[in-house]
Amino acid sequence: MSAGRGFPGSARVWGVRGGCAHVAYGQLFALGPDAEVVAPAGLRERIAEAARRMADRYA
Amino acid sequence: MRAARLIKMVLLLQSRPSMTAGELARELEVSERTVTRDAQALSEAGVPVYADRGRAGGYRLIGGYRTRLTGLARGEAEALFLSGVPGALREMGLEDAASAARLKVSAALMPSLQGASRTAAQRFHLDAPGWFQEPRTPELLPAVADAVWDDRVVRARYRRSAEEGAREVERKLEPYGLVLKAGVWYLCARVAGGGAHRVYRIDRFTGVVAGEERFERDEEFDLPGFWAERAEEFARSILRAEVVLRLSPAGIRRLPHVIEPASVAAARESAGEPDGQGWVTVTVPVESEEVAYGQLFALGPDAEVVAPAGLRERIAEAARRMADRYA
Repeated sequence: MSAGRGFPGSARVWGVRGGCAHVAYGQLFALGPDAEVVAPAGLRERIAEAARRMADRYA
Repeated sequence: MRAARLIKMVLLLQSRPSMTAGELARELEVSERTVTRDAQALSEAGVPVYADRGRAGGYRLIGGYRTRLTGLARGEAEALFLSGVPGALREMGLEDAASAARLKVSAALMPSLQGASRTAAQRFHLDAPGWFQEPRTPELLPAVADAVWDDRVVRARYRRSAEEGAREVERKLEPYGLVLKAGVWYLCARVAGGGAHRVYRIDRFTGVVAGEERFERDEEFDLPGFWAERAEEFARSILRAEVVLRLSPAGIRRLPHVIEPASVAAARESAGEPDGQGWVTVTVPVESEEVAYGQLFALGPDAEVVAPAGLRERIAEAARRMADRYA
């Protein structure tokens, strides 16, 4: 894991080296609204889709 | 010191057909000149050490000079060499004893069993700590292990957990046994003079002094049985709240990855009939709503918290914010 340039407040961009997209999905989804996957696009879309379905379920 | 080195030299020579002076010097951590003098001393003492001269020369024992252990089966010999176990022995300060024991057994094994050490160590290895956990050997572990071996009473200073106020207490303990669980060492001990056995994390000891006083072990005490009982009690004791949850088939499969085995077992027992989409409603014991939030959010759209209402609302709000972030 490597830290990028810091942003105002506490937000930071991190480069995370992962071995498996499935594992990364589980680990990063668990961070909830406190994290946003920027890339890869496939993982971002998978998390976005799961978040939408989850929000709908609790609507 | 020299006597110990001479014995070690004999045992090394018993374990191999022959060794060069250089090899012996490295193993014994002495000079080759000292090896020569030691071989001479052994010879004078009647040990049949023979020196082969020349470039390919070395030292060997002649006439089948060896101590034989009888009644040791190949499986038992192999078990002595499981390579991760010496790591735990090293942490307890028993590395030298373990090395000496392995050397003696190697030296004394029948020729047909001589490969046992390599066989086991190359096929089985114990690496006890979990992934991503740096194993740290508590500084006082060797002192505690010594006391356990000798049934000696110890005076110990112990830092209680944060929940118990994190204050230091002093206890006079009868140390019964050590347990290595997921990379963490624990002492099972009884307060001197009676009372129930309790469990202490070794890394919370801040001082341990063993005197000459010995205690008489309760022969009824069974360390593996005691530990299994305590581990189960502990797992139950931390689960103080309950969550009612709906789970999809994928959520059912993933549940064991996010909550404790005792909670999974309780959920399984409480599961109702699956609905048309295969969703089931379960009741899950959890440590607290705070902990459950982190555990259950990870199940994403494959779980829905039904109760308590506060936890449901917290997860619903987080899901809305997350969906907005990715919109």
